[in-house]
Amino acid sequence: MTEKKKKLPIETIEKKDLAQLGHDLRNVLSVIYSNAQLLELLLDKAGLHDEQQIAKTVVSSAEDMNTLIEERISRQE
Amino acid sequence: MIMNSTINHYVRYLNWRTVAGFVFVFLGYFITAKFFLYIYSEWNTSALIWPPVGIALVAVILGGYRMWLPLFFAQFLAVYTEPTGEYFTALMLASAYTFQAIAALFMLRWLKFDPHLRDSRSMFILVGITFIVSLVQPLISTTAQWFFGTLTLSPIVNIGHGWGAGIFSVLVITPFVLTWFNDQPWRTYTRSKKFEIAAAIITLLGVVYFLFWTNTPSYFGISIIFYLPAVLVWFALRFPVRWLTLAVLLASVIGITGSLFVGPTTSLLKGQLLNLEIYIGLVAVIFLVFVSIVEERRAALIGLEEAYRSIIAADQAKTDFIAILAHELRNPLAPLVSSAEILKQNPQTKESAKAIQSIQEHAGMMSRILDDLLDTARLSHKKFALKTEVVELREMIDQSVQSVADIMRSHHHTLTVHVPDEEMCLLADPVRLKQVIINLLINAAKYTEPEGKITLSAKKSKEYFYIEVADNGIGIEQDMLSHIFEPFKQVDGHGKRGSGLGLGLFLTKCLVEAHDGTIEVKSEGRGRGASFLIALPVPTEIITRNKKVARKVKANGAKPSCILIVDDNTAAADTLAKLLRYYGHTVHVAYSGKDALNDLLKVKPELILLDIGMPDMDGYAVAKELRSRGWDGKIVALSGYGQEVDRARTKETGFDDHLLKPVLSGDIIAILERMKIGDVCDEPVKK
Repeated sequence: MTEKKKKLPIETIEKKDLAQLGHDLRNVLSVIYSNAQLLELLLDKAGLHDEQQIAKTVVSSAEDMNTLIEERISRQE
Repeated sequence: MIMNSTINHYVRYLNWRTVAGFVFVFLGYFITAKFFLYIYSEWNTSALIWPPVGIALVAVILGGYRMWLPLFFAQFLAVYTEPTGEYFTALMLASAYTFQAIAALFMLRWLKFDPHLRDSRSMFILVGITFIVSLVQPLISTTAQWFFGTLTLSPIVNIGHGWGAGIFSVLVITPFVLTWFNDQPWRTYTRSKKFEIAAAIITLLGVVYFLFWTNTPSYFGISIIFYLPAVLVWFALRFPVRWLTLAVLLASVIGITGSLFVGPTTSLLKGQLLNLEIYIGLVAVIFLVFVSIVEERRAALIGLEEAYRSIIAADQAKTDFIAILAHELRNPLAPLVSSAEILKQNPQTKESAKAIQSIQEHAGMMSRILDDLLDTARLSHKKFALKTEVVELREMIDQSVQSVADIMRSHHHTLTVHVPDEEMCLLADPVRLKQVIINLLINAAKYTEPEGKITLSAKKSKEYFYIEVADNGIGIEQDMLSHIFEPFKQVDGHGKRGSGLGLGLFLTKCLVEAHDGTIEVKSEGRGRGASFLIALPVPTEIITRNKKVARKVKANGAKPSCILIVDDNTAAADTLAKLLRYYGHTVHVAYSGKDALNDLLKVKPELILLDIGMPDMDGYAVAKELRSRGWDGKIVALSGYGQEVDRARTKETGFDDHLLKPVLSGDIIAILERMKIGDVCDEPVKK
């Protein structure tokens, strides 16, 4: 196995691109978040409390990701 | 009343700085004028060179119109206090010289002249205005002398002498003062530059000494008068403009003194001074214009360099920001992915199954976005390395197609693959080559309406392997085709942007080019589909690959094992533990490095999944401690950092493998199989 290093272009990521990055990440995240909340309700309704706890982990992880995006990107925007 | 208000106006106007400026200009002008009047009377020649003209112009450029006052009185008193001084002559000359300076200032301001001479335009303006306004005083003086019958020379000769004296004096004095008034301080020069400047000045002094103080006509067969321009070229090309103005001033001073002290007798002195005036005047004009152009180019180059440096710094900051963000987002993504995987094992209703599938699809999308962001940051930092080996293209295509099978299914697309029967071996990084093919297939799936047709084909020519991905999707507008590979560019589909960041095609192009290949896009327009054609060079030497025995890892194929998960992210650790327990493994969790070391003897794990970034004791320190205690079980790093340098560091510290977050159960089970782990261990400690 050989290893070679190539010169590759330096690209500038503009401010508008950062805004777009935040927008796209939030878009994907919002689908995960709403599905996780729906799942939590469905599992609660079905009385599956162990599974509901797992769904809560999905919700809280999505919230953590959203907080990170808010803190990092919104501040830059 | 009017007189009182005018006086009051001037009293308010004359602050101490203005008064100091007046005194300074008055003394400078008066002393210089008296000195040159003394020289001309002592040597009994007429005033062919009159430096106060240059001083007057500098005074009005820097001090404004109000400087007429000290200039007028200095000129008046300088002439009036001479033994032959007459009130009327002194008044007339003072008026003429003052009016000349004021007229020059008016024109310079009108033409928006930069007093710091920072561009060639300003130098051109100064030279041009000097030629025009230097006629003002000789015209007034000659007319007055002619009117009163005191004119001894012909009017043309008289005007010519005054004009030449004015031009020469302004060109020597004014640029010198203006450039030395505001320029780069000496301490900012490098030592070698200082040495070079000193050498140039010494050379100049030598040349002007031989030129004006000796009767040496030539050196090495070249007339001595050609040496001065050669030295001035050195000044113009190598140093800031102020040094050229100093060189011109030094040449003039040494020239005038040489003519006076060792020059010809009185009858010929006038002619020599006139020649000197013309010679240095011409040299000054040529070189001042030349140096200003050189200086302007130099300043533009420095400006460009600074702009380039600031762009690079800004770019670095942005890519650093993106890399950090992507790493940070990986941490919460890990428990999210694991939780979805657990829930998928036992969906209760159709609705739940749909929600779980959507979560998994979008988590996968998020994971790809983060990968793209990290790849972009690596490309920008030039920390991108290809691990090339002999790969078989059909195998790469096969694996890529498997990776996108779910996406194709969810979009109800038909994917047709055409590959030749013959083996197609090339030198490539298998991970990156698959990334290229997968990117193009996902791109085609994304921009094709449901139930679309996508074709992936490969063929070989004498020089290239071709891979083509074509679809019958929404197509690309002609004006967008040339921008499609730029980062953050996306095709608008029916007024909606696609999901993702628009980095996929940019990265694809970078990866193809890193393999010495090319990629091109074709589309006949909106609604007419698109095709991407990759060409990768066929190796010049015949290569064959060592056939590997493909191993398929079943998700539940590993033997039950005892695993210790160490991660300060409790959600990530607990979810992964639940997932692995689901597959029958015995899993213990520690939330810190210290806990892991304490629990080691009780748990006796076969495998430790160890997070790297922990607050009290990081993964490296824990692994080092484990190895120093002689523990020889398997340690696998769990990290958001997956670059070569990170993998090398974990290997060096004593880790057996390196997994990038978010980790799927299949990844861990594959590791268990590879490491042949799967004996029974003690019961897990409840936490």
